[in-house]
Amino acid sequence: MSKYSSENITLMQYIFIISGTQVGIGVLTLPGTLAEKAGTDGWLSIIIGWLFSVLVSIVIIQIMKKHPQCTIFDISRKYLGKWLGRAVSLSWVLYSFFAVVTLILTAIFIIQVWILPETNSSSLLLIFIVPIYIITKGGLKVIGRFSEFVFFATMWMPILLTIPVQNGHLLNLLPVIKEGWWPILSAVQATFLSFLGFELAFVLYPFLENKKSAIKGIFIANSITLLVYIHITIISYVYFSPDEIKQYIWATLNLIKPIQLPFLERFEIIFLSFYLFVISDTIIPYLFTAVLGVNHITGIKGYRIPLILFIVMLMLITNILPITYEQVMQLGEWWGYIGLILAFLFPIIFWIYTGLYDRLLRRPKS
Amino acid sequence: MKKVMVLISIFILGMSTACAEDKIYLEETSLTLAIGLDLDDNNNLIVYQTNPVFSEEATKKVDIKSAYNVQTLRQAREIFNAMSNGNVVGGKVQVFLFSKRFLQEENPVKYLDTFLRDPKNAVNVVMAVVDGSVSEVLNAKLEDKPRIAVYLNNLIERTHRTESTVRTELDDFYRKIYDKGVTPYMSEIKMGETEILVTGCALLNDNGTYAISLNKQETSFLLLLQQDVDEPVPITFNINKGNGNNGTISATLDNISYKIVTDYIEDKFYFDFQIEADAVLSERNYFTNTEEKLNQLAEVIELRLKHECEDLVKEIQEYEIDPTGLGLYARAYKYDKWKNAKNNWGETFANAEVTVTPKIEIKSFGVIK
Amino acid sequence: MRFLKSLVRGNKSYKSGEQAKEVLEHCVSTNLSNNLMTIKHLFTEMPDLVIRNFTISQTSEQAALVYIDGLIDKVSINEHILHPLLHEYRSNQTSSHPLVAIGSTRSTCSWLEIEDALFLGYSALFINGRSECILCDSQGWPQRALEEPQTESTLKGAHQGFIETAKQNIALIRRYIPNRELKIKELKVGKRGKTQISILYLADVVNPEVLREMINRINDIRVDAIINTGEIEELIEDNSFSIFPQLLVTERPDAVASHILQGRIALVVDASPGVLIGPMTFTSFFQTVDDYSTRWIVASTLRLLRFLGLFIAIFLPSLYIAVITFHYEVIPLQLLLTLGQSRAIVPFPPIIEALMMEIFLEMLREAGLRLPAPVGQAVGIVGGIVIGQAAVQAGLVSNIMVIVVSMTAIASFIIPNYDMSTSIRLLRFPMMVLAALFGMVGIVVGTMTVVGHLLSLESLKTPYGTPIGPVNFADHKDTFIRFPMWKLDRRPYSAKPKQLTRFNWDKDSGE
Repeated sequence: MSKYSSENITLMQYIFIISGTQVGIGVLTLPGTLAEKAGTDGWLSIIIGWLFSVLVSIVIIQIMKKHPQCTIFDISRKYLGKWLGRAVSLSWVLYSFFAVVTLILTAIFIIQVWILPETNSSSLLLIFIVPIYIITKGGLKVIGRFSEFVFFATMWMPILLTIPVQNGHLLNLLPVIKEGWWPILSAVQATFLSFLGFELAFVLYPFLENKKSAIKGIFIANSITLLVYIHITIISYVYFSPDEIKQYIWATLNLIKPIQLPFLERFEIIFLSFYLFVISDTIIPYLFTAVLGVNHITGIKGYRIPLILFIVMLMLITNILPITYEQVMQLGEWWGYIGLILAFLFPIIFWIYTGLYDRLLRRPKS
Repeated sequence: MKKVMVLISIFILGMSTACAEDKIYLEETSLTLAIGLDLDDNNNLIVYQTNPVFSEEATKKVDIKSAYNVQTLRQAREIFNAMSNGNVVGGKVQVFLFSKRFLQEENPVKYLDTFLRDPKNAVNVVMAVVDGSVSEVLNAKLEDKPRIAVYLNNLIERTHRTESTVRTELDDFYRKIYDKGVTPYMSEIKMGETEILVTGCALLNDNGTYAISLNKQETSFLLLLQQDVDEPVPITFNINKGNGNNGTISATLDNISYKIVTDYIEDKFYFDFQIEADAVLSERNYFTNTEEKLNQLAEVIELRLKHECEDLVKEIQEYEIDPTGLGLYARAYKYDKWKNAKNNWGETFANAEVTVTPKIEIKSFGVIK
Repeated sequence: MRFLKSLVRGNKSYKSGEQAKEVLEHCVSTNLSNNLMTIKHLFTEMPDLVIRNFTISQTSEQAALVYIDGLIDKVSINEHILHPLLHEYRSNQTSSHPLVAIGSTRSTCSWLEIEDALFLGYSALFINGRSECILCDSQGWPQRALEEPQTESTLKGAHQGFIETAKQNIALIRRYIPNRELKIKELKVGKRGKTQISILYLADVVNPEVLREMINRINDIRVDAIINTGEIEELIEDNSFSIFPQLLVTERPDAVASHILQGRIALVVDASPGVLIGPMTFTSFFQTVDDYSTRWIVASTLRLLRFLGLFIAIFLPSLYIAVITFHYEVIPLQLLLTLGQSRAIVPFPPIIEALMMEIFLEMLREAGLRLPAPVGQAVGIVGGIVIGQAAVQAGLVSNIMVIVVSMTAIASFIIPNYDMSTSIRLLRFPMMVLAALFGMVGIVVGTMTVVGHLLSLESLKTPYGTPIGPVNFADHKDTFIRFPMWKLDRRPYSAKPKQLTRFNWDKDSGE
């Protein structure tokens, strides 16, 4: 019995936590970002990005497999010693918290731009933090349930997003690979940010009930994310003309705006409000990771104290940082770079290191 | 207890920090329903707007205002704001009216920027050209009709469904402005003696300025070429039967399927519209004695359809515009050639060879021989 | 001096609590008059205590029958205890047991037990020379006839409800489950009241951990007395700060039986017609017994209707406020113009208008509840006219608001469980405030908070949100829609039963 077994999550919860973490603000911006770099071939970049994230995910599981009862915080101490291990743990905590800050500020900014331009950001943060606190406090069990709920409760969103297709032109997608492979490859890096979230397997693995299915699970999670992104990207490209989409920052919202049903109009307001579910589903696992890391580094028991600490920090940050377009984009970019290092490069390097470490350590023994 | 205290304090904090700025009580708004852009005699911009009046004490149900000496819609809004008893908001605009003269002189895109930029503004706005003055249409005394903006929106919707005009909403308009392979167009209306008439559609240049107008018949063929038709499509032709015998036949087209062949031969784009459809004869006002002649009917319709459509395309080509969206096909199937031509597609399209080959099968002649 | 002291302490049953305790620890003495003395000292100032001295005709022993008047059945005391003892004579008397024509008797020598038994309606027979007392079950007190419970009436199910006697109630349940695996565990709760609590469960189905949790929690109760089931509910539920009921209180024996069969635990509280059932899930509060006796398509539709009612009851007023205050854009123009015209006459902001009407509605409902039926009707009419007509004509509220309020009321009445329905009705007030402050964003954040709270709730340590979160596909056969009976071959996973399959259970029973 490990210390994490009291909060076991099922395979389904594991899948939905990971894919829930991956699908976030990317859905709103990805079509526009990709169109800028790769035109209407952007959807091919997503597939390549998915390939990378699946590969790295498998590497992560390979690392975790050796110590099925440990999170990255335990493992890094095991392999890197007390101080270096702590440094790695701390960097993970900072990374996760940085993700939380970026996501919350971006969410608030988008809400302010699209729905409530005059409401100040600290009061938005204040109400937004209440559900996040309640769910994160419940630990991974509740987070898993919330992810399941969000997955099934947002099933109407892809259906809504499909409605604009009838006014679009499939011709916009043709020809496939119009400018060769280079623009497509150059856009792959932009998709990495959208796939970030699989790295939480570093933390989720010891909680998983059925550890044999970990690879299958993370593959399915990545694939759900891939489907979501491909769906929204292709629909955006079909609906908007190739040059028009570059005009929009949040192309997905512009896509929804003209939808009219006999009883409701202006779906971007409803969609974006409900999208807070999806965004909080991204924020909460990261916040939990940060809390778990703080527990591990400082030895504090229970989630409440670190959680309150983080929330106070968040409030300070929103009060100090002006939430502007520049700021939010800058944060997103930084997060992308840090994510590239910690989520994509770190697992591979660490995997090689642990492989060598185990081999060198075992040889003198045998 | 501690929990409850924390919750209460959070709630109070939330109450106190929440700004009331975003609140727009519905009854205190002045919903702009129609916006009209026109030029006065000195080519100065005039902006019109109509908004409903909610108050029971007011006798007038619709309020029409105009703003002179403004450069943009935002400026006009400030003026309207100063005149209204509520906040002027653009979230429910139904129609945009441009006078033909305005479109001839000005590029409408730059005036519409606020509707793209400010997410609060509506994009489901029907766009129409007024042949004449905008204020005439907005001030039309239509006793038996609902509010003018709602009426115009419905009117264009209905006539679009009977293939007599196009329906361009603001977001379509932007798509076409930014798409190099297609030029924008909008409905055209006119103030008649007592009624507002839909006369067809106005085709615009790539930058949104006025090019030509099409009448209702031509519009229906344009819609056919744009593959934007609600089946069944009614068509009517005059048939010259020789011997000075003129007749009219009407038919409805059904199960229409398109195939567009795109090619590039000898520095020229080549498009072939292959339209297959079933036809049902609905009216014939001349007599033929043999059934054999009826069987030729399919050929007659095919021929007339081909002529009408090809004439229409020729007319369009003269103005170097492409409302049919053939540029999309050029881009999709001949991307290399398109890349060179995309920045002056209108010119390239003018030189293109467009043929229409309809294939009609008569499904029935109705219930009488 | 002693006399003075006793005057000061006059009303106490014994000289001091400690002394009484000391006496209670003793055994019954062989001397009858000593025993009667003890009784008199224990139960002072209790005029309903009856002590009947007599001589047993057969053995000529001195005896006394002690009971509390009102808790016993006079017929059984007179005909079945006193009569045989006084008059009957049997020749071959070998056993020392006296002749009593009562089914359940037991002998005891503990004063503690005698005291408890007397308060439960037993009669105690003391015989001179014996150091024991015979307790005869002569219970009998005024009882209500079996009626259909008012809050849970049904169209097609049984028309019986629980009454205030635990024994009867258990019998009613047993009529549905005549199975020896239906076990009953008896516990006593309350320092003073010593309320009898019977825990009913199917031993081979129920999850032992859940059962242990339930028993532990009941044993942990520190309270004077339990008057009603609702008190127990609040004392043992997982989170008493939650707005949602985590255990079900029902007055229907068929509902209890069906829950026990699903692997849940029922708690019968003596002197209370409500039976407590746990562990529960959120969605099971939206099911009724009728669901299983109507055709499954109809039942499924009705269930979906209830969930729709849930959403309307929580969100409709807040959506109205959000739309009028923030997002006029989302409403189609025609409706918007109607809304605007009806709002134009109202001098208050929408939140005030809505709060006014909703609070008034709640008052009306509460007023009608406690009043006798004819007066209640009058209240309904007055309220209806005031809400419906006069308020609109006076320009205090808009037409649309009246419609919204009525729709909300109807939607909240469709929820079959009274506790849940009240909770849902309460929830819409914070939602309205959030909507007035932040519009749609406020509503969604409020929903997220409620959902997060629901998902983190547990009922007897089993997740409250099953089968929504954690998702369980098998349970969805009987959640939002009800599959045909033969499809429901598994007990709901939410109660974590030991034995999952419902029929063919000899194949894998004792799994």
